[in-house]
Amino acid sequence: MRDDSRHDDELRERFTEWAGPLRAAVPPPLAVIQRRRRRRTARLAAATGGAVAAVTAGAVLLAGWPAGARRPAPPLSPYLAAPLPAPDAGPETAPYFITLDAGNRQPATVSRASGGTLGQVRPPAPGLTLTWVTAAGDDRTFAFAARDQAGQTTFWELRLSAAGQPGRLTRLPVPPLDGGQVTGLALSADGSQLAVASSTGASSAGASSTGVSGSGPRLEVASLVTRTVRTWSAATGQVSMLSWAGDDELAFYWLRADPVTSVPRPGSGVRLLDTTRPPASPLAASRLLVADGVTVHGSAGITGARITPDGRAVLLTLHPAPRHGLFRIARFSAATGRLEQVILSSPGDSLGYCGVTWTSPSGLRLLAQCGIAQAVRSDHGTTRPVNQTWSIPGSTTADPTSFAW
Amino acid sequence: MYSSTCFNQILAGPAAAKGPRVPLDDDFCEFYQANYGRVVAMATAMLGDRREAEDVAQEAFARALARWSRLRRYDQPGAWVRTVALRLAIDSARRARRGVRATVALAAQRRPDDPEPSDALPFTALGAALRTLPLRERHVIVLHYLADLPVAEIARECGLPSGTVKARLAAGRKRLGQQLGCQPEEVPGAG
Repeated sequence: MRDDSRHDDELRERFTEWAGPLRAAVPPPLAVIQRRRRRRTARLAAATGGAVAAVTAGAVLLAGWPAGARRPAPPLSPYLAAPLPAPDAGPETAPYFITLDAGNRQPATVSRASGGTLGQVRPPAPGLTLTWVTAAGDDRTFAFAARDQAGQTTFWELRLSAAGQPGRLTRLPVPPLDGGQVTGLALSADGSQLAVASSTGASSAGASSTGVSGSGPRLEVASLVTRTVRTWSAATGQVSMLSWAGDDELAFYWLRADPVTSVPRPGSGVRLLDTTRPPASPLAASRLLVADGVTVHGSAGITGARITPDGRAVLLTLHPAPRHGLFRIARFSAATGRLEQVILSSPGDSLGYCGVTWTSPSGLRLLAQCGIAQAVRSDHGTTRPVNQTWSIPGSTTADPTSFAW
Repeated sequence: MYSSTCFNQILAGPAAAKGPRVPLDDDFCEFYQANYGRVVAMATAMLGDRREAEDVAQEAFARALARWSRLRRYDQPGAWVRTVALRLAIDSARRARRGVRATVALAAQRRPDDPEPSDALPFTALGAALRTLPLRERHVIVLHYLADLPVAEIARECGLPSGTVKARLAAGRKRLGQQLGCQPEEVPGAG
């Protein structure tokens, strides 16, 4: 009995000590609570309004927002530096991007408007090289993969100030990758989940939950909220070109080629993974959106792919065929896999990135470029050239390994 | 009339300058300041993640603010916020558990020379030990050790028989003791 009492006292002391810094935390300004209360009240009103609210919303959408009317506040995630843009926002809401190798410069924040460097992004420790970058939906929150000289890859977060100045990189609670090569990286729009594709080598997370190990492709989704990792892996194939649709669905490019003919096997292409489903192989846990064999006016072979944040469309970059020497950047329906629009046809060049550089959450407004000479802005299907002030040098492959916008 | 601290609190923050100002009572502000850290501590113990815990705590206080005219008349409005926060935390933990099967707890993956995550508190020995408890045991442990509630109060708050609370408390204590190395040693072979 005395032991129990002593044990109880000891535990109580440890709890008191543990909770001390938390109890002493300075609460956020009351305005945060007020704002939250207003959003909650609005949500409840919307939910109970039912059909009336739906009809009203429809009427507002049809008529457009009346002048001076207050738009609903955009959603604010606690994992972002800034609120998410409205679904139909234009590129003005994304004034910054980050490049890792802009003209042999150090990784830097770049202004869309001027093309100028706003600030250098410094590796978090000596010996680390930033190898991949990905952006959340707020244009201010970024995640990086950094590789050390021993081949271990760790993951870091960077937040930009409202003026685009980079802060310090902070370590993300994501298991490091030992020895493997990162083949894709994507931060969810709300900044709460990081998806990492890799090949050859195992994560320090240990054996995968599917029981498949070895050198095949691996897709890991780390929740920065719960600090847990889900893993999908396979014995063969490649996973790359990751992009998020909403909070739970992840698009990726899957390629499994015949070892003799190198022809992609059926099932290769852009696929959509429901990350809430139990881990399995990436192929078994996903469905095909656009097959690898898709062609657009002769262009064929997917070299770039991203799903729009609302999940309705897939934006592809297709390689020129030998006799049709043009790259095509095109929009496909995610529901049917059919071509909806060719956004850009270009010969491209070997100096610049070719693909979509920025897209609104709905995908109806976007910026695309092919090479350093041709860039367009697309608004609800209308495409016009833009004066390309920015520069994203690199190969003409469209997997955006070296920049994030 | 606002106390100076509360007045500064209300003026702070980007939202203060725009949107309809919600009238705030001074006593809500003081209540918020006095209880926020305590609620965050309990939610962190439940969730193992400080950022998520802060989110839960803020949601609980937002709900309290919406009902403040009624809550202020309660003997212990803090108990109401605590209950709401812990329920939100349990819901959140269950949602995470349903969808997620962790391969290995992150605590075990960290190396001694890794830079600390910014909110490393859950990685302390006690934080790690708490994460090994089933949610129902964690709940009563949190109420007992962090809210300082006796068994009868916990039973009332959770709607459980006292015996069940005692059993969960004992099981939680035992598990924590084993994890933390402060369990009274059992004689091998005894019992």
